[in-house]
Formats: sequence, structure tokens, C-alpha cells
Amino acid sequence: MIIVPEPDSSLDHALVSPPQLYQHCDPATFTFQTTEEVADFDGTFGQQRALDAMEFGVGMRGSGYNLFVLANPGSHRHRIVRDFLESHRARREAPSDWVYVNNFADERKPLAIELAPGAGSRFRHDMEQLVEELQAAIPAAFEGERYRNRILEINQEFEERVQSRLEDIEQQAREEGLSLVPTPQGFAIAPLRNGKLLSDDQFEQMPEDEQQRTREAVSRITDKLRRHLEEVPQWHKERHEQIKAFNREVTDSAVRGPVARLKERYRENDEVCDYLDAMREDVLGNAREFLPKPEQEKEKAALSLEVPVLRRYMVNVVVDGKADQAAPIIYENKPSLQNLLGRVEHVSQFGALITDFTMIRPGALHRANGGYLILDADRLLTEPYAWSALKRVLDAREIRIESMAELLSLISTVSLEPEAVPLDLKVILIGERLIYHLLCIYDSDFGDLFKVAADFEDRIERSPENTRLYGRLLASLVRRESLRPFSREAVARVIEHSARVIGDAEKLTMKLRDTTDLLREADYWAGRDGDETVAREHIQKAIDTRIRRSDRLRDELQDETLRNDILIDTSGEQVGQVNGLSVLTLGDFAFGRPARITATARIGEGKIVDIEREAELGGRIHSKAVMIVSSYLAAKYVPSIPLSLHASLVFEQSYGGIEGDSASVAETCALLSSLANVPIRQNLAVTGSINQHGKVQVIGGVNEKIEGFFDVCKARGLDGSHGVLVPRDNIKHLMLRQDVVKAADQGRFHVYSAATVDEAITLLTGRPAGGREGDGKFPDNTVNRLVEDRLVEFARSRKKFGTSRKRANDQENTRHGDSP
Amino acid sequence: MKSRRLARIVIALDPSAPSYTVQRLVKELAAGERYELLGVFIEDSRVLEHARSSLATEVILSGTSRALTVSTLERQIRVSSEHVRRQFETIARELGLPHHFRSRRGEVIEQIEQTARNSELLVVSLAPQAVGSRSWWGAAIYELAGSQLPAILFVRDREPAEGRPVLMLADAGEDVHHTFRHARRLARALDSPLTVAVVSDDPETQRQVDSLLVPPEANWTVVGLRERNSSAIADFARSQRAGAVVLTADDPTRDVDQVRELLRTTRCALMLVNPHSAET
Repeated sequence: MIIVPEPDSSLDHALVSPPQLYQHCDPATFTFQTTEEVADFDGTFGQQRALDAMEFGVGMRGSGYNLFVLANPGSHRHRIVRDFLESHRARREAPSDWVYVNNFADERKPLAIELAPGAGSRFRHDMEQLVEELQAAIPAAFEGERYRNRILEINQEFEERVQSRLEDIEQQAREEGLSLVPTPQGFAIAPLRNGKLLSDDQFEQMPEDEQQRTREAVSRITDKLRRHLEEVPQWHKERHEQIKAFNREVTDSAVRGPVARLKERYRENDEVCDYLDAMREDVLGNAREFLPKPEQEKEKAALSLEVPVLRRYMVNVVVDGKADQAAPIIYENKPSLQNLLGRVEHVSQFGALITDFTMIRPGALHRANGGYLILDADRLLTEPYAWSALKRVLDAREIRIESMAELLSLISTVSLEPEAVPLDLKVILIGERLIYHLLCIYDSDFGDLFKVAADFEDRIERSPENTRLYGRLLASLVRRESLRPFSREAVARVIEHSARVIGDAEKLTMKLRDTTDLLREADYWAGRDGDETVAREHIQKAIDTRIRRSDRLRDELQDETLRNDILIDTSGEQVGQVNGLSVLTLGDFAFGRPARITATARIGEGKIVDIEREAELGGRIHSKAVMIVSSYLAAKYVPSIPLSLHASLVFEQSYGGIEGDSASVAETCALLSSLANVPIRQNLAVTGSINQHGKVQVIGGVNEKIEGFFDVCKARGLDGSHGVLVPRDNIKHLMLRQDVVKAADQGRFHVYSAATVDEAITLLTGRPAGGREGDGKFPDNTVNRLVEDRLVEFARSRKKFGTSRKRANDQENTRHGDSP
Repeated sequence: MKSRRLARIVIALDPSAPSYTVQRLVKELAAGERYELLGVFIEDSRVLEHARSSLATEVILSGTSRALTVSTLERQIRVSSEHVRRQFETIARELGLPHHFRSRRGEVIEQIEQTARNSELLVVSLAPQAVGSRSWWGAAIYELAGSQLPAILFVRDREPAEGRPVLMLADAGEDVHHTFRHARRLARALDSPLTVAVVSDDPETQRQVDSLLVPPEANWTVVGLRERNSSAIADFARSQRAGAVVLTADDPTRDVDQVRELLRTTRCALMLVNPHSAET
């Protein structure tokens, strides 16, 4: 049997009623029995501001109207953004296809051609067909009798020309009385007499003038023959040109028709027509490549580093859409420089790296062009050179493929400079607020390129409407995750938990990743229990086991407290000592624990020493809070005389850092207790910050703090005297554990609220704080009166001490002959 | 027991042309038969006579002129002869046939004729019909067509005839059967179809041709040819994409002209069969 003592009547007005400790979600809010009955929820709620911003950003044309979505991880931000874009993509036209083709004028600079949506693949196919057709048509043209005869004709013409000239020379030689015969290396010329070669003796016997005529004749024929042989290469060249021209003519006869048909098909695309003209011209110069090759040449080609010529006519489709497709929505999971801009691949051949336009690979920007590109800001910023490259691209509004290896001069192989592709897309960066604000401050380009911020709420109002929608959202998550149906009681419990995790009974978290995890874990426990439906108990079990997995340190600290290794009084009264409350956060688990705060006071020069700060264990906010306490004391008590106090405050047995201002009410009360010499109830703990006027202000982690003290008290035995004092404005944040609520309901534990320091000290000491009366004094025996009296006493003592010390100094000076 | 005398094939090699085509063709022609090969290289005496004249001048193909001396020319001839001999022996060894090589000095046609007089076949290798290739023999080699040798086969290098039809001409007054035997042998060696082009309406010729078809063979064809002049034969050979043309020798002068013309205007090998050699 539990004996419940009568609560102190002076505390009644401060008592927080049990219903205020936990805001239940009524399962009757929902019209369904299980989530199975609920249709999928495909909307977004509570994010109107962000959605309006996105609507604006997506609809706004012009440079720089890209979006930055400020949302924390786990908020289903990607899904929300994608769903939003999905519903808007139809408003944009289907984007063009882009292909890279060979630049016949400069192969290092492949050309980019824009085609109608869906036409890229068709063009590639058409070009393949064309090449295939030419591979049949060109050899056929060259194998034809007409071709062979014409070549024969040209060669014969040449040979006849040579032969005819030679015969002329031979004829002339004969007329001059000379013989002309072939030798292994050329032609021999010698004089004849009567049809026989003239011997040297015969020549010597000839008259001088006849010898001279013979010599001149040999010389003339030699000159003619020499000139003839010299002109033969030129004739060769002419013959070669003739054959070349004829080859072009023959090739063209095979190429003209198919190319013209293709041009007709793409007549509305000038770039394609220009490309086909250039291609035709190139084929005319490379007709041999279309002819069957002997095996020997094939082997040679296989060993060659040169790119096979027919590859030149391929089409590399980098953006391949469909005519009926709406604007693309691309999420790039790894936004590296190459994944964004695309890259030029190389293949290793005999140790050399080679490439051509067919090895150009598109990046996310190519794929998203004409639509939307979603990127994670943190990933983008941590990828080398990716952020600056993206900015350059957005600024220039064209995609120019850059190789990081080239940027860093890591390789010096032949590479390509593909023609830039015009860019028209919306980039949606998703990131945390910190990143957004850092970019705003430190990146001068950021504001110009990302003009629209869509700030997503981390929490939404826990209104009846939102609660219902939240229930539908949970039902959708359950279905999406293929979990067992959840009962409406289970859904209600999840919603309560959604309020608890953000420490606010009037809000719901939008960090849906954790909520989804909870659903999965509850489903697991339902499965373990062999239940077909997930019930409220399974949710609770999931919550409890999750805590259980993380609370080793909490248990350890609890144990140390119960074994008095950490000194926490939960009964009796003490002067200058109060139970404060702190919160420890370990990963995603936070818990509260009580901490003893003590204060001492003596005469001094108006200084309150924050021992934590002196020991460099206190953070700046904590130091500020102590200064506020100091200001509060100075302003509240005997403002007409100097504050002659030397006080010190400390968190006992605290060996780590202290930060925050949530202990300032406790510190103030400890100090007042010390000054007034009035004991503080140790069965209470207190939390709250104050301002200079003694108003108590909200603090964070109120639920964890209350539960922390509750756990210690419960372990020692609740007797109805225990409780926690919290700021009144924190009541709306209360979502306490069920055991705490139950204990409060049974009167075994209490939660009090205070709006001022006076209320707090009254509650903690059981003695009224007291307000100033008509004579300007606090009523007798009130805490404030006792404090003020003590401070006046300090001031007088200090003054007295100061006067006697001055007198002693004067006497000392007189003894030494100094003038006063 | 007296051993059977081997039939002889004489190969006259043009030093300016490689002989791969000749090699392949001779190999096939000699298949299954016992032959000996005789390679012959002719050192043209006319040129040597020119070199003996102190007034002789040589204009080489680059257009440079220089004095022609016997020693220079002899050296050139030796180099060519050695080159031809090596080529021939390589061919002969690969064919696995008994072989000899002779280098003879004198007037080209006369020397070849003398060497080939007792042979069954004279194979003359010609420079390819490619621009820039120049036969050392010059146009004079076609004079061989006017000789009375049993059969002469002119083969252009780099013009493989395998698989392409062999075209045989049959005209009035010719010994069709004798020529046909040579043509058939050539077609088999080339693994080619044989087309007999009948020029005349002469019933005797028709009868002889008809008799060729018994027993019939799938890859033999008989067609008609309008006239037997070089131009008509060349046109027909080109239209058939013939690999070789087989003619019956008739009038030496006409034969020389025809051989010269056909070798100039087609890419075919050309075989001239002497009807008077049939008895032998």
C-alpha cells in the first residue's frame, strides 16, 4: 500500500496536472481500424512554405533560379522533392536528344548535334544503315565492268602516251641513224651504219663534220629521251589524279543517293544536313575503307593504333529521350566531376591510350538537360572540383566536358575537346541549413546561381488535421516498406512518439527516417509475437528496446548515484545545495541526470565566481548565464548600496564540460539559499534559465531531465514528496514516459512549474520569497528579506572593514611623516 | 629398261617481275604429271653490242644520262641473272620437280625459241600490267607468238586467274580438239570453268565443238562470238571476267599482233596453241 502524504498546499498552484504531462493521440481521430484500409498518401503537408518556394523556383525562368532545398537528413527530402518535380515535369517540353559525331575538319573537336526528342537513336540507326549500305554499294560500284574498263582506259592512255612518245623517239633515233634499245636500268643509244652498230674504228674513219653530226644526233636523242623520262612522273601524277577523280566520281555515284535520302529525312535539321555533306565528302576521300580488305591488311589494321575509318561515321548518342517523355528528373548519387560533366574514355592499345568521339560518355548534366538535376550539397562539395565545375557550367549555360586528369596535368595523352552542349535545366541542391548559410557567406557565386531557397520544416503543428494526415502518411510508409498493417492504436502511439522525439507535445517530427525505422522495428516485434497486425504494444516495445540498446551509460550513472559514488540527495534539506538537471546526448539517444549544484557566499566585492569557467570546464553560454544571475542579484537586492558579495557556484562531481543556461534557476536558488541560510528541499530537482528580471525561461530536453530525476527517486523509493520544477513555458513540451505519468497520476511524483525565481525559491524552500512592501522592504522572514539583510550586512561589514583599514593606513603614513 | 623421257616446261623469266603467279600456275599444270622444269634467262646481245660502242649513251629511268660501258652492263646483267636464277630455283624446289637453269646470251626471241623447242610448254612471265612496271623484254617478247613452239603461255604477274573462266576460241579450220585439250588442262589447273567461244558457223567446227561436250561437264559452256579480232575477243574476255584466253595459232604475224593487243587490253593470261604440234 502506498502512503501518499498531503502535498504542501503552497505548491498546489505550481503543480502540473497529470494530463498536462503527456498529450495522448486519440485513436478515434482515425477513421480506419488498420492502415490496410488507408489509401496511399501522395501529398506533402505542413511544408507549404517550402513547396511555395519550389513552385516559384521551378516555374521561374531566367538565369540563376536554381533551388537549394534546406532540409535535414531523414526528412524524406529526396522523396518530397522528387514527388514535387514529378507533378511538374509535364509542364516542360520533352528535352532534345544530343549526339556526338565526328568532326571531319578537326577530329579532336567532335561536334554536338541537337535532335528532336527520340530522334537520336533513330539517327544512329540511320547512319549505321547508311554505312552498311555504302559497304555494299561502293564495292559494287568499283567491281563493275564500267569501273574496270575506265581504269584500264586511263592506264592504257597513259601507257600509250608513254609508248607513243618512246616510239616517236625511237623513230627519230632511226632517222638520225641511231639505235635505241632497253637496258636493265634504262635505254641505250648508239649510232648505226647500214642498220648495224657503228664500231669505234668506223667512227674514227668518218670525216670530222660527220662525227660531229653523229655526236650531235646522239646528244639530241639523249636529251629527248631524258626529257621524256623526266616528264613520265608528271604523266603518272596526271594519271593518278584522273583515277582519283574517277574514283570519287564512282564513289559519289554510290554515295549520292543514300546520303540525299537521309538528308531529305532530316531536312529540317541544318546541323545534320551539314554533317551529312561533310560525311559524304569524307567518304569520297576514303572509299578504299569500304572495299573488302585482304587478310594481310586486316591483320595490319588490327595491330594499328589508328582508329578504324568506319568508326568515323558512327553516332554517339549521349542523350536519348523519347518523343512522349516529359522533362527528365535525374538524381546523381555521386556527383563527381566526371559524373556531372561526362568524360572522355580511353582504351589502352599496345600501351598507348587512344580515344575518339565514340568514347564520349554523358554526365548527369547531359541526362538532366531540359529537366531537373537533384544533387546532395554535402556530396557535391566534397567531390574534388565538382562544385566549381557545376558553377562554371551554370554560369556559362553550356556543358563542356573537362577531364580531371587533364586539369591536373596527370596525363598527357591525346584527348578530345567535344563541342559544348547548351544547358537549360534546374539544379536542385539538397542540404542542411548550415551548408546553405556557409555557402551564402563564403561563396560569392552561390547567391547568383541558387536564388531560391526552399526551407523545409523539421517539425509541423500537431493539429487535428495534421494528425490525420500524419496517420495517412504512416499508412503509406507501412505499405511502401511492405510491413504488416498497423492498428490505429499503433499509429496513434507512433504519432505520440513523433512528438516526443522532438520534445514538443504540440509538434510532430518530419524526420521520417527515424519514424520509418520505428515502424520496421515494431513490425519485427509483431512478427516475433506471431501477430498479423502491429499493435500499440509493438510500438512501445520497439521504443523500449531501442532505448535499452543505447542506455548502458545511463544505467552506469544511475548505479553510481544509487551507490553514492555520485552524491545526489533525494530527501531532506540543505543550505546552498540544489538538484540541477542535465542532459547527455550519445548519438541519437539522450537522457537526463540530476547534478548537485552548490553555492557559497561571503563578504566580497560583488563577484560571483563560476568555478566551472575558472576551471575552463564551462562553456560560454553557461558563463553568460552566471553573469545574468549576478546581474539579477545586483538589481533585485538593495540596489542602492554596492553588492559586497563573494559567491561561488559549482556543479559538484562534474568532470566534463558544462554548457547551456538551463541550470541558472538552480544556481540562483542555491545562491539565495546560501545567502538567506534557508535550506532547499532535496526531494526536488529544478531546471530552467532566467533573465535579468528573474523570469524563468524555457529549456531543452525537459522530458529527459524530468525522467532522469524520476529514475533516481524511483530507485530509492517514491514517497510522494519527489518532484521536478520546470519552467512554466515548458509545459507544452511535456511528453513524459508512461511510468512518470502514472506516478504523477498516483501522486507519487510531481512536476511543478515556475514562471519566476520567486516562485521557484518558494517551492524549493517552502518559505515564501516575498515581495517588496510599501516601505520598500521585503516582509520579515521571507527568503528575499533574509537575502537582502545578509547583503546589507555584508555591505556594512565591508564598509566598516574599509574604514578601519583606511585609518590604519593613515596612521602608518603619519608615522612616516607623510601628509594625509 | 629405258626410262621414260620427262616432259619439259620451260619458264622464261622476266627479271623485272616477281613470279608468284607463274609459280602457282606451273604447280597446278604440273600436278600429277612428271615434268622437268627449265628456267631460262636471256642476256640480250643487242644491248651488249651497244655497250661496246664508245658513243653509246645510257639514259636511265630517272632521266640521267651516262656513258654505257660493257663492264657496267655486264654487272647489271649478272645481278639480274642471279636474281632470276634464285627465283626460279625457289619455285622449282617448292614444286618438287627436277629443274635446271640456263643463262643464254643472244637475241632474246631466238634464244627462248631455241631453248623451248623441245618442250611441251613455254611459260613466259610478264611484268604486271601496273603503271610504272616496265618489262626488260619490251614489246619484242610478243614476237614469240610467231614462233612454231607447241604451246606458249603468257602469264602476267599479280593477275591471279584462279576461279575465273578460261575462254577458248574455236574457229573454222582449227584443230579444236587439240586446243581444247590444252584449254581443259589450263582450266583444271586454275580450278576454273571453261567457256568455248565458237566464232564460225562452219558445220565442221560446230560438230567438233559438239563432240567436246561428250561426256558433258557442268562447268563447260559453249557460246557464240561475233568475230575473231582482238577487240571482240578482249571485249568478250572482259565481259566474262576471264582469267585466261586460249587461242589456236594461225598466221604468225596476226598471232603476234593479237597476242600483243590482248595482253595490253585485258588482264588475262594468254595461251597460244600450235596446231602443228598435235602430231608430236
